[in-house]
Amino acid sequence: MEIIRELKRGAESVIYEGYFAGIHAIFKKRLSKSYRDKELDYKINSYRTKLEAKLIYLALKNDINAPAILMVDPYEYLIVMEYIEGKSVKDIIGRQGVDLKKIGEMIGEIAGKLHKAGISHGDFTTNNLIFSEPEGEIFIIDFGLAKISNDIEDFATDVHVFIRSLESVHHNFKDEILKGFEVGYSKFMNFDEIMKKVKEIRMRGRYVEERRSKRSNV
Amino acid sequence: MIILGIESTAHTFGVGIVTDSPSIRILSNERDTFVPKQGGMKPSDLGKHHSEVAPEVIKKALDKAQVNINEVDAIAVSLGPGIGPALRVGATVARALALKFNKKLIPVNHGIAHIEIGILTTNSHDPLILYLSGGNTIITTFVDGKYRIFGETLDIALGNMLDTFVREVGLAPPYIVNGVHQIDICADKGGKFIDLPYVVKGQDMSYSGLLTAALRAVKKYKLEDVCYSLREVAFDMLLEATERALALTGKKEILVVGGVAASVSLKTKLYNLAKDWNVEVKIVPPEYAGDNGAMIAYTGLLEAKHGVFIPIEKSLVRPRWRIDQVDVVWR
Repeated sequence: MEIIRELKRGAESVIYEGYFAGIHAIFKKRLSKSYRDKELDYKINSYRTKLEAKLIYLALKNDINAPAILMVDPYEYLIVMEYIEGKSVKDIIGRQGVDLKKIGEMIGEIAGKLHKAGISHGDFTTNNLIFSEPEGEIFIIDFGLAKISNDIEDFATDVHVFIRSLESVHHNFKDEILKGFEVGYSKFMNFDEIMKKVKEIRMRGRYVEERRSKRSNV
Repeated sequence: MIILGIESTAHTFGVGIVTDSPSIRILSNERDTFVPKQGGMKPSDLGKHHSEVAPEVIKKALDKAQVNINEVDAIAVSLGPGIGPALRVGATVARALALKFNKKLIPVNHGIAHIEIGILTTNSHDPLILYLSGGNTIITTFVDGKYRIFGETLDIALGNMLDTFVREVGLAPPYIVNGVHQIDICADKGGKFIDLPYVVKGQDMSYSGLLTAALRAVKKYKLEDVCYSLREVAFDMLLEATERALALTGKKEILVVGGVAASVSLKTKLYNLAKDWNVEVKIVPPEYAGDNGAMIAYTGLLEAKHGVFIPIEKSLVRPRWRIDQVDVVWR
């Protein structure tokens, strides 16, 4: 086990890049909180570590491109997984020679497969989708907020979060990518049904213009 | 400019007077808090209490500040959020004063007032704010003209949850003894951790299920251990959500306002968190932590300087007035 550098420090965990048994790897280490009761800290962190590893494994079993799990240590709150070589979809959108519709279709397939397998990802943004250059495939990473679910609300939230990530960073390419997403997603799930729910979620938002005009007195 | 502020959103009827000449000073801060003999508070009892004590509290505030009502420039009143019958007393008194003495009326959001007095008294600059009281559990910060909410409770407030628990198991009232909440007194005698539901959804928290589970656990386990576990789970949920907000906003100060800010155990936890994140924790002083009139007067002063007034005929109470609905023109 060899750690090369820290990649990212979040509220809950630190991500390192390194090597595990000679394999280029990602180390995700959840942090103990000094303010938390020790037993509760152990409970939360070991539970979330195990759950995340299980969900990645479940995704892999369902033929979804996710990083292979190399090791899980629920006592050290550590998950070691394969490093996906490539760039985040966020960084490649808009580059020359990138087939947006094809990218959208591959992302749609991943979302559709996840949902068909009963997994809601929880943070399905272009930041967490990796375009691996040699294979030309897309991988989904970071299952930190994922959960087992059969609730269309959770699935629609994934799609909503994805569209929101397109709107905020890739506004001009959104429509093209979404066209592809529909094709890919429809191979596994009912796209129209999910979009109905997505619309409903968006209308619930607190700063929604359409809703504001309906209730102009507020 | 001299502003008289009236607070009357829940169990406290308070009147404060502030001035900005030559510098901002709180001249008086008087209050009378309704304490039920037993059980919780009935909204109609609050209204009755407030209407009975109002004249006396106003008089005390004026006397203490050595200000004549004619010298007051405007009347500030907390129009919400809060409990209808309690709010209406404060609003009625404020309108009456404004009409009789020909003063302008300033509408103040109670939550914003907690925040503003916190920023003033702790000398904060650009904090992440935890607004924790009997009725509110909100993580917020000022962005682009408004206090934006990063996380909040999805059901009952943290303070309300703790109060209800100690009342239901027979520890309260009184809820606070020598400045220490009954939950802390009870929890410090326990220490064995009992499994209770820990619910953080993104940056939001949910406390109602935790309350139910804790009340059930009392039948099976030692009360002191349930108190301990309940307190730990409740505060840790809040702190986890706080950490997410810190990671997202990169703020370097945490400001705690509202009645729960007085909790010693919460303070200890926050100082630990602050060390991990290298941020500063600032806590509103006890006299301005609970509901008070000075915070309404001070916020009213900030608003008045920017021309925020309300015509009397439009000064309806707003029991569900969210802090993120207020245009914060003075920042």
